[in-house]
Amino acid sequence: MKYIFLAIAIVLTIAAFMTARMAPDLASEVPVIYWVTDTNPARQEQVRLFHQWMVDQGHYVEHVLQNEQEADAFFHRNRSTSIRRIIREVNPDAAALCDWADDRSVQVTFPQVVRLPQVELKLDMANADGTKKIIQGVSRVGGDIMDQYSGHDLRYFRAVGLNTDVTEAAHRLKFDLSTTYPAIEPELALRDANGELRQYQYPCNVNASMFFVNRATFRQHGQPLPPERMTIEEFERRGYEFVHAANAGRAKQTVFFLNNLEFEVLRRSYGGSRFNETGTAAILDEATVQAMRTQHKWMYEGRYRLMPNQADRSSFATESGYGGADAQLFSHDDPERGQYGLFWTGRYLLITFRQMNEARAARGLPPLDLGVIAPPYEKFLNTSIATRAAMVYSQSPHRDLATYFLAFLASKEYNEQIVKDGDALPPNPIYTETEAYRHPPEYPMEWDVHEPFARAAVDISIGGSYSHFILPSVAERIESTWRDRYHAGMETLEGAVARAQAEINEEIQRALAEDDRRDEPILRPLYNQLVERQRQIDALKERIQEHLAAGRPIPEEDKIPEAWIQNAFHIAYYRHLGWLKEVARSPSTQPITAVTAN
Amino acid sequence: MTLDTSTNQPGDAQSPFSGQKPEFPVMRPDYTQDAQALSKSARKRQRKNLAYGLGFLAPNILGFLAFTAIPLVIAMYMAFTNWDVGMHNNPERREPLRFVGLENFIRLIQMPQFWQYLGNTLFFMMGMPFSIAGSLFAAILLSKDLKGGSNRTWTILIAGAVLVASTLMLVAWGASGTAMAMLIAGLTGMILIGGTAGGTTVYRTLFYVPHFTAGVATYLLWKKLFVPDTGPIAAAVQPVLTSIEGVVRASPPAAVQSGFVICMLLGAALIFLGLGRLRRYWEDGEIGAAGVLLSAALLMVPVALVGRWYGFDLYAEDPATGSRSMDLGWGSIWLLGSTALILVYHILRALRADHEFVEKRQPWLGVGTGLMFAATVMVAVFVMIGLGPVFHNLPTWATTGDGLKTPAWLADVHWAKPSLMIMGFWGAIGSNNMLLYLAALTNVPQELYEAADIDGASRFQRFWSVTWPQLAPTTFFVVVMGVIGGLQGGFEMARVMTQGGPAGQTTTLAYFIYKEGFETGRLGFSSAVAWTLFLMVFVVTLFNWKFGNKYVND
Repeated sequence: MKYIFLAIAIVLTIAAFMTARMAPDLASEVPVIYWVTDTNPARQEQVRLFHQWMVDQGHYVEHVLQNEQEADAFFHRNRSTSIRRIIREVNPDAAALCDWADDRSVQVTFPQVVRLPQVELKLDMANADGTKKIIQGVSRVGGDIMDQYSGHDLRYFRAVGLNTDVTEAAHRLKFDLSTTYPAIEPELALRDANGELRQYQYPCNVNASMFFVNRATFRQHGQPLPPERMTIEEFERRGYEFVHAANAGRAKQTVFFLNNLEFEVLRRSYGGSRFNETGTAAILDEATVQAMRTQHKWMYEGRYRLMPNQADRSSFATESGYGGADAQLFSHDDPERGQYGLFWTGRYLLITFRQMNEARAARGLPPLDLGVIAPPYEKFLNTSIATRAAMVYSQSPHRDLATYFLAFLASKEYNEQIVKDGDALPPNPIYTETEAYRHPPEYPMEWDVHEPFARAAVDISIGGSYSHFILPSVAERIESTWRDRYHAGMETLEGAVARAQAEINEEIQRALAEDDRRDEPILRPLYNQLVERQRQIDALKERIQEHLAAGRPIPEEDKIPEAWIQNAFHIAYYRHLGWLKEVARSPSTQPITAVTAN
Repeated sequence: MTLDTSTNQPGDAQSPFSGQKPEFPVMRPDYTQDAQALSKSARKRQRKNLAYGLGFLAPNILGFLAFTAIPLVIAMYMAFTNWDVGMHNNPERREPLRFVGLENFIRLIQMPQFWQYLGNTLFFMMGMPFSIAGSLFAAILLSKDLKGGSNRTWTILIAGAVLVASTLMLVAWGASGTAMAMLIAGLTGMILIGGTAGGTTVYRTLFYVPHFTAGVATYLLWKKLFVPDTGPIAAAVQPVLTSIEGVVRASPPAAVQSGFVICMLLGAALIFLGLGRLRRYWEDGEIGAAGVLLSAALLMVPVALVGRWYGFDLYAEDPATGSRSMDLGWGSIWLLGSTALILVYHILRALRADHEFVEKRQPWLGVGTGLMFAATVMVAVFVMIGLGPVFHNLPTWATTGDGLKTPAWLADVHWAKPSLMIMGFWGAIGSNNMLLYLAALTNVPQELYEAADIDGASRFQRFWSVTWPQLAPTTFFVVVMGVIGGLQGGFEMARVMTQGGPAGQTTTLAYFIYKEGFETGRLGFSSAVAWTLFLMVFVVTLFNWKFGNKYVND
């Protein structure tokens, strides 16, 4: 028996050596870096474009192969399948040489010039889960480049020190914040101890959420098409008319006016946010109460409801494909199987709609007749902006090379590919002003769709509201739990809001108490600074209210300086109200030292 | 080895031939020289074998040390520190770890969420008696020998064939609207035919399927089964509910609501019987005073909670008509009042017991027996308390809105936990518990059954007086493992099926550990939760071992 075990051990050892020898890093003369991203067929093309871009930008290694021996040695050094493919792709003039590498009978003349990008990029789609990224990151085996989803991930990964500050590289390689949407700033950058904005990631794509309108569904139910902008009152009126007309005669409601609407957008439309201006406390005020009441009404009250609740969603057993059940329900024609008139999502859903249109064409059906409208509003029209951004892992041995990838994301080649694929908005808004974006010739049925998304990203989008003293995921978990309890009838509306606010503020105080025990507290000085600033803001708000009550215009000195405000919502909202003193946010005027809560 | 060929001397006490002339030289091994050589080679061989053994075990031992033992020790240390991924695993800003003593544990105890999640965990464990009963029932069924040839087997075979044929005919005629019925009928038919043809082996394999099906796959399957309105379970249950709705509509509301009264009566009866049984255990010297008190206290838990659930409003007023009707508060009053009387009754009866005998007893005797019994009765009382309001509200539910509809299962705060319990029940029936019972059933001595038959015992009496006591060791093991598994469980199903929702209703302690550890990075606090859980498991197991084991051995 022991000899059998010994033989197995020997075989496994040999297999391990062989596997190691075949590892990409050893089978290619250029370093290999990994991009941890989601599963999307478009990534292969993006990787190809990156290699080509590296060569085009002069980031390459050049070999002049004088004879067969040198060529043989070159291909031995570069023996992995992927690097061979890259050689072929970026050296179209060396096709014969590449053929020769596979088949020595192919005639090839020497010398041959071959270029290799300075780095080989490989995809890692198996580790895109956030928990995996954190565990691998702190264990120092994280991917060199990782996809991040908005400011939530940015703050968590920064708290753990896993993302690289790319500010200087961004200026040098031209992928700084000025090359993307201003509203996306809170999702990409944080301020350092000197109050300077430090960039940690760059968008792979940007998403401003809006409602897609299936015009055919409205016509099917004899309803007028909704206008591009509506107040909540008008939205509800049209919505209830729609669901009554669409569900009349059915035992069970199967058609809904909308699939979803982000709670934060609704709350902002009532003039509220989760945090105060400085992020020192949760302020779940009347706006939160109104937003929760509205959400409850839409989901749970009345014979016909505007929006499906969790039970309705679960009963739609069509969850499959990109976009899930919502995309299926929005697009098909049979009200019995469930339908949505409006679909809250981003431009990236065009990828799915294009596939659906191909399937519809095969069945002899017309393409989807799509429009786009903004979310409803009470006091303040707004929408959310989010991004799938790429960051460079701080412990990567190839940080400099990985940073080139972020520069690539700002390139014309990448942006045009995003425009072409319909994968949300390109990172650089300039590329939304092209004809290729607005009127793609292959998709004339989409011509009404592209521009509203681009305009929304610039005109009405607001980045996330964050606090330095609590992780976004923790705050969101607390709030959503209490919202659920209210919707389930386990808590009163006011009670749920009060408990959520109290718990978030308790978490903030817990983080501060923990910080106080440090030899040199990091959060406490910042908190004290911001609390003082909040007092000043509150005093100004009182004076503004007095001016308004007296019917006087607000004098400039009583307006709130923009640089005092941390919360992206309040900057946008006070600008809208005319309460904001527009002062350039520069390091000298910015007293805020930004760090993230642990 | 050399031989000493010296002859035995007369009078040699050790010689078997003392006093006789020896006919043959006695062979005496002389170990003095060879023993050294032998022991040297034996030791060498032993060392060699040990080295081989350890060499082959090394991967496992190293794996255990690296991935279990050392992390366990580190986790224990972490539980008393402020370990946070952001502070202590940050490659840019590594801070010294701080010992915080019991701070994490104190914070945990002060967290309302901890109690909610502990409550969820315990709620899921309330399914244990049903699961054990289910696996025992399955084991008893599967212990029956099913072989072809008998009339009963032929009947089963024909029934199965008829079911399959009917299903095929329905499919052929395009009766797709009855897909669920066809599926059930077809499957039942196939199982009957398969079982008849293959005998017990087929059934045993089928029943054991849940155990070797991958957890995540099972959870995804059940998630689909639980789809509201259109899911298979809803499709199967809805016709039943519709029928009930018809009956309820046709009946006077008071008649239906009398079910509430019956539930309350049954609840009180269960408490009466439960306390009575405990008292008799005590009178017979099977349980000591501490055992009785603890068990009775456990039995009182549902009564203590009923006021919180039912409230104390005696009448409900219809806002539309202004009419008043009986409210659930009657149930609270009834259960509290009747329980008080029952307690007084049993205490008085107990006082009349043989005091001399009582005083000789050990107070902790039979605690395990008492608690196991009380826990089972407690679950039954809970079921009555849960069923009561269903009857009370049935007329309203049936006559208003859409009538009786299947719940939203996993999406409903009230049904999420029971739904997962139903799934757990399915898994438990075909689990290792069933196999253990099956094995234990074959070990029950046949003489006991024969003796019972001679005594004229009925089937139930045979089970209750012979089978069940003989299965006590197995039941004890199943309970211990069930408690441990129950306290540790719930992670996969929460992660896959509900993400701990709705409103944290399906978050168990195991899932809470994961969320705290990996979603917020508070590894110190998360370790404290894990060790608190370990302490609970340890205490319960110790308790089971200390008290339950005695009962089993007795």
